[in-house]
This record gives sequence, C-alpha cells and structure tokens, in this order.
Amino acid sequence: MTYVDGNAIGGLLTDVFGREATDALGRCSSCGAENFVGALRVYRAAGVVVRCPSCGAVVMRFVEGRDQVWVDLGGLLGSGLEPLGEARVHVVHRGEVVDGGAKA
Amino acid sequence: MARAAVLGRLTWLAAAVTETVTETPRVRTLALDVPGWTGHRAGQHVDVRLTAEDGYQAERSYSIASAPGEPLALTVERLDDGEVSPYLVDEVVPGDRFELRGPIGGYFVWEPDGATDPLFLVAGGSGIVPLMAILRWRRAAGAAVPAKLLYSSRTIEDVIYRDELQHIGADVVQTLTRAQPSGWQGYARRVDFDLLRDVAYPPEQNPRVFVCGPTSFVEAVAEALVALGHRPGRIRTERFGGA
Repeated sequence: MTYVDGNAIGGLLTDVFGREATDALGRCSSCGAENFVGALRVYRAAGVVVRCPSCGAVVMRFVEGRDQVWVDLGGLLGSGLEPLGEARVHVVHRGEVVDGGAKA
Repeated sequence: MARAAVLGRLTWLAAAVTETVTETPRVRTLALDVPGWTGHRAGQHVDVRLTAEDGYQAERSYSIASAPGEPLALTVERLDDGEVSPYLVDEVVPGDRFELRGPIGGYFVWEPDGATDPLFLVAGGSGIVPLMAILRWRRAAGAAVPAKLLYSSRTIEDVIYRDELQHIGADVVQTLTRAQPSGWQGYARRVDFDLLRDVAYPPEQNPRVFVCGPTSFVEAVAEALVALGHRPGRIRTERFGGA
C-alpha cells in the first residue's frame, strides 16, 4: 500500500490541532526517532494511519465522521500538539474515548 | 473571522475561476479569485472541496503554483479515475466556483530569508508544481541563492511550464524517461544514483533539497541522495502517492 507524507494531511491536522502542525517535531514512542510531522508516513483507508518513517510504528490515527473526528495520538511523544477542546474532536487512547471534547 | 484567527482553524472559502491555462493534455492551471485569502508561502497547498447536487462531497489537496504575492493559481493533473481532478482539468470554465481552504503546510516550504546555501529541486511529473512556486518566488524576490531544478517527465508533451522554465533564472536539467524528440539534449533515463551524482550540488555545498513527485519517485531520489552523502535533515519531501 502506498503512502504520502504528513504534509498531505495538513488540512486535517489544522482542523484537529487548531494550528499548522506539519512543522512540529514529534518523537516516536516505539523507536524514539524524532521527525517532523510533515515527514511522517500517511496511509489512507477508512481512516488515516500515520506511521513513523524510521520504524513503521503507528504514531497517530484519525477517523473522520461527518462532523466529528476521532484522534489517537498514543504513539507520538513531545510534539506539543494538543487537540482542540471542541465537541467534534474526540481523543481516543488504547481504544477508549478519553476526552470527548470536554476540555475547556 | 477573528475567532477563526485565534483558533487557527481553516475556513472554507469560495474560489472563482478567473482564467484557465492548458499546460499539457493532462494538466491545467486555474487562476483563482478567493475573497478572504490571506496569502501563502512557496510550497504550500490547499484543500479543494466539490459538492454534488445530492450533497456528496469530495475533497483533495492541490499544490499552489503561484509565488507569494501573485494571484492564487493551482496546477492540476487529471487522474482518470479521480473524483475531483477530471472536473478541474476538463470541465471548469472561468466564472465557475468551488470551495477551498488553506494555505496548508509549514514543512515543505521555502523562504529566501538571506540563505546562501544552494537550492536543489527534484520534480517527478506534476511534482513540479510546488517547486515552480519556489522558483517563481525566488525570481520575484530577487534571491541570489543558486538554484538547480532536475525535472523528470515521460515525454516532451508532458513537460509542464515548458516555456517558462527556459527563463525561470535557474539551472534547469530535464530528463524524459519514455520518449525523446529528435535532437533532445537532456537526459533520457530515470533519476537514479548516477544521474543525481552528475546533476546535484555536491553534499559539501550543503544544498537545501526539495523533492516532489509520486511516492516511488520520491523514495528513490531521497535514498540516492542520502547514499551520495546528503544529510537527511536537508532533504524535504512531498509524496503524492500514485504510480
């Protein structure tokens, strides 16, 4: 399956994080490699799976519904990226919704 | 608008087509008038959204072809099984409208900002588009930094911006991988280690490198550049999937 760069989902990332995110640096929780979000590998299917270009581990996942988006950032460390505290953004970790947009 | 600015969210804007330019049989440039557009940086892209009468929406990303300060222009290649590009390449006429949001991207961008390291750009097919924005911006800004473009196309008919490339003010090296016209002076093979060794600025000159094209093309070019001794951190890539 072919992939594109993190750059390609810049619009989605700006939707979720409320800022340009492709020039943020993040660290892979599996191998520790640090990469720009714009350089991560993006695989699109029913959802968006973002993998570390160094080891291939999943670092972020996004599932877009009609008006909502589910976000799992469990594999990305230290990026400083925080999903917007909006009702449409749901943060998921280990399969469970841990933040349904209730943040202030 | 103030709230959108605070949150940094992207708003969908109405774009009106003001002019179309046929670049190749498969590629067209659309000049756009977008009220509320805040400007862009060279190398960025936009998301385009089309809405059908039944409400079905399709969304795709397209690179910005124009330099910062110029009217917004997108150059689009038709993918025959695409949902959006056949409309943009074959059907749109001046006066038509569609939605877009942007600009998007802070990673694959270039600013003149007094840099002296040479600029090496490598394009496969329509991967030329964001690199053309960079070259146009370099020219418009009067940047003195040396620049070289290595551009791979299948045939001479597939070369986008063919005339403008002759006076873009950079060293332009072309390769045609499938067929070459008689008297062709450029390369006639795929971009690989040997070709990059011949064409790229040597690693000692510490060039800034931007590579854009189909995923397999970008992969091959980036790997060869690293094998030649270029630091991975100096190489910025934009893969658009496909062949």
